[in-house]
Amino acid sequence: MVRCTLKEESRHMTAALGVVLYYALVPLVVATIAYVVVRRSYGGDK
Amino acid sequence: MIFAGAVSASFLLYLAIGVIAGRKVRTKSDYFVAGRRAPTLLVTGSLVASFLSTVAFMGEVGFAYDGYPILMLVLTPLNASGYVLGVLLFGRYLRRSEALTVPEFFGRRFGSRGLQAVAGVTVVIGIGAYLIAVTQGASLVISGILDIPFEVALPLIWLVYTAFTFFSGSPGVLLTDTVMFFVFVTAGVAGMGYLIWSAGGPGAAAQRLTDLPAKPGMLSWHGVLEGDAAQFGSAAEALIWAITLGIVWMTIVAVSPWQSSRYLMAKDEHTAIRSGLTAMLTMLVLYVFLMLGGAAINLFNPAVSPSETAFIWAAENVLPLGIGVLVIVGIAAAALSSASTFLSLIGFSVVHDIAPALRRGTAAAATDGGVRASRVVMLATGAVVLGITFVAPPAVLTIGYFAATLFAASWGPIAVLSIYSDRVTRRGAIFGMVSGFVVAFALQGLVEFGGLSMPVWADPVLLSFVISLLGVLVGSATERPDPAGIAFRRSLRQVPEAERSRVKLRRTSRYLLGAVPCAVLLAGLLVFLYYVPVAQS
Repeated sequence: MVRCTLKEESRHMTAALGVVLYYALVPLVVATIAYVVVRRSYGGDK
Repeated sequence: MIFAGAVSASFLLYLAIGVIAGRKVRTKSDYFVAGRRAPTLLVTGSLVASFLSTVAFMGEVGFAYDGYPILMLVLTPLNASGYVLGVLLFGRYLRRSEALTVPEFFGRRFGSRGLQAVAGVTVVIGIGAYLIAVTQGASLVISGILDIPFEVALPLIWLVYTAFTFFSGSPGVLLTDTVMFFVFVTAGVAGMGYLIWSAGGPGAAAQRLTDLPAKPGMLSWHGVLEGDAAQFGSAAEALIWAITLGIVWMTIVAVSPWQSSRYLMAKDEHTAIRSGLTAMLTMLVLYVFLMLGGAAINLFNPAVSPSETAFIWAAENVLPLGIGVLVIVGIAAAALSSASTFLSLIGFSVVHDIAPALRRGTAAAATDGGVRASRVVMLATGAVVLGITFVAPPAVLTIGYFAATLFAASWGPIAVLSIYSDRVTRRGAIFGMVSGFVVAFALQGLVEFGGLSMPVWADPVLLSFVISLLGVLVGSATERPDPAGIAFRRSLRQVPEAERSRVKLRRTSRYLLGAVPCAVLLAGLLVFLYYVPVAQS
């Protein structure tokens, strides 16, 4: 019973951490794509 | 009384800004696209202010209050990233075309005044419905705050946004949008921050929300799945809903006329890109506060009904007077800013996209560059909207959602293909736009108003998007592409020399690199307000 509760809690915490990482990483990935596109389009990196 | 005074004072301020900005309007370009001189701050302000309305501050805060704050935070990054992806894939090319309206861009890209008129009609119907919803929402808020009948609040709200939009066109809309943007972002962060703190701080608030019997699982990523308050049957259903809606809203943010048209006013393409990035990051920070604060309102009153009024209830009953006033003024600002953008876009489309197609001839050039005609049309359009809003039953969120999603389906495929494919023809573009719009209108209408139930993975907007794509393929297969349209598209893919400035590039790069500390800040904010409190509860 205790193990089951701990497992449930651990899953709950992993999901919460996943939300935090997802919320921060999506804009970071999008901004990185934008950085590459902007450098290629408007810079001399072509 | 103080709420009424503050709201009235804010209305007078917006009117004054509109009148002052309107005195500088000389040409149609000034009136439609603010002379294409807008800096990053104004474009960002207008992007966010046009997007966030009562739907965000009432509907979505109400959804968080109902038990889904974290699920909304799953949806938001997809939605907000539409700003950056949209400006990269579509917005900067739209700016490069130097069109006065988005329908004009489509008309020139496919060499068809008919397509321009069709796109203009979708603007009038779709944004017209959205404007009705936003006007209704604002009138309900104001009638509640000022304690006046809805029938009195409605013409008052209408008069405010119509007056400054009429006088100033886009320059005034940009300025008032930016002032309103600062008001409601400050209101959202300060109001919700105060609510979380006065509930005992993030740790105590999380503990008490976890123990809330009526909404179990409120702080889990999927929200409430059991009991009377549950809106989803399983975690998987909630996740599919969030991702589907996130993609739909991403498309809306990327291509809808009330968002992409803001880039037409940017002083250059770099400004458009910086604005898209800043809008995305601002939305992400704001939504952390709106959603977690929206959930925390339960700790003061778990039975606010309807839940859409939760933030207003908190402003009037929990927040200190100063912050409460700011929140009420902020919610009214969010509604007005969207309404002014919508009205201006409808007026521009009638005068610039639809009327020329109906005239079938060249009208004599107006001595004032068409500004007077545009103002008259704007006023007439506003009067029609006022009339319809009076007789339409209030259904703020239903009509608002219905209208907004029409553009994801009807404009999404055409917008992207118009930039990246030579094969799409005039007929393909018309077929795609019309079929997407009609199917989305019918299906979404049946779901929202007719009681039709669709599985969560078969969202009407996604189905309509596919139909629109098929329309493009079928239409394009029966006609050869117009050489002038292909030449226009290829000219759009050439980066103008003025945009290759090293100074501009360095500045835009710095903005984009600034996303790294912002992402760290977002993670830190969520760890502080959500992860650690939940871990300790």
